[in-house]
Amino acid sequence: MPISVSHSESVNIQFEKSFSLEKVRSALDNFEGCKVIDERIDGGYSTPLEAEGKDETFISRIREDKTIKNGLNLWIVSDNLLRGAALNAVEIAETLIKNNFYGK
Amino acid sequence: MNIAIVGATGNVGRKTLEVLEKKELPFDNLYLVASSKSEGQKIIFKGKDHEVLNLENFDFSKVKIAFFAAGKKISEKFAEKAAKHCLVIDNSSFFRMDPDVPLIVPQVNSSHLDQIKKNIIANPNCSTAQLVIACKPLHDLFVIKRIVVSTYQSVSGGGKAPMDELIEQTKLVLDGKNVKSKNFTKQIAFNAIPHIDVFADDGYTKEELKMSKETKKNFR
Repeated sequence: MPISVSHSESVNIQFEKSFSLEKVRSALDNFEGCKVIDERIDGGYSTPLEAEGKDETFISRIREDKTIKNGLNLWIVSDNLLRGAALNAVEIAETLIKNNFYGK
Repeated sequence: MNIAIVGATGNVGRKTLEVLEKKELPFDNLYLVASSKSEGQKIIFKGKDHEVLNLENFDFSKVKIAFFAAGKKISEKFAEKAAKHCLVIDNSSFFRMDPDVPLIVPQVNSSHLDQIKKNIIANPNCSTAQLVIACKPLHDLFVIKRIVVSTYQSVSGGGKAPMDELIEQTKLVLDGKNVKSKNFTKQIAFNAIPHIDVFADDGYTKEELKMSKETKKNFR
């Protein structure tokens, strides 16, 4: 895409179990590294430009896929140089240090 | 404890420096390493000049952790050598599907970190990382059966040169001039290209296969 930074993903998920949108929303918003931006109004969603330079992965356009059983649609946006690369690598290092390198 | 960044002058290397500036990672010395092309270049980190060192003769026994951010070919050639002396955190795709190398997004599968066999840890593909971090809390609750994903990826995944080319092409188009693509298969300005990485025999591209395989490994 003619976009400098941040990748976007249109995601369709089918679950084994049934779900509620409220539980999806709160599970995503409470998960470390994720943030829900989903207002169902004009502009109530995240775009690549807004995700640039941010550590969080943003989840928008949360809605049920009524054409399949237990189906969900999402729009996921994140700074590809951070979560997809530099930030993730540094967080791996932090985890190693916190756990004394797992005895290595 | 000392750390090194291999590919410190590239897109991801410079971003790693930015992240380290903000985080409170406890280390003593930082070594910036790159190809001979960048040797001697000065980079400022936390107000201090750091000279870029040559990868060919860098001594990895000086560091505990080395971040590799210089692409697949450099990781293929140098990561295992480095891993004899330190832990390598590799951004490239080279080791991701190696069964002896954990593929980690800390919030998703840090439990895999006790299976470090080669002293190498892989970072997933950028599209995989953001997909799995959002899918993990949902998978824990509702168990994912199937995911269908379309990605709309920015040009920075290809490095600094494609980023510069997007701006150049955009200016040319606005000036009514002809565009000849250098880093893209087609014009990128005011366009969309349905292709990343090389084609496999079945019509998929490696980028697509990476996402599918890496997501499964991450959730294992």
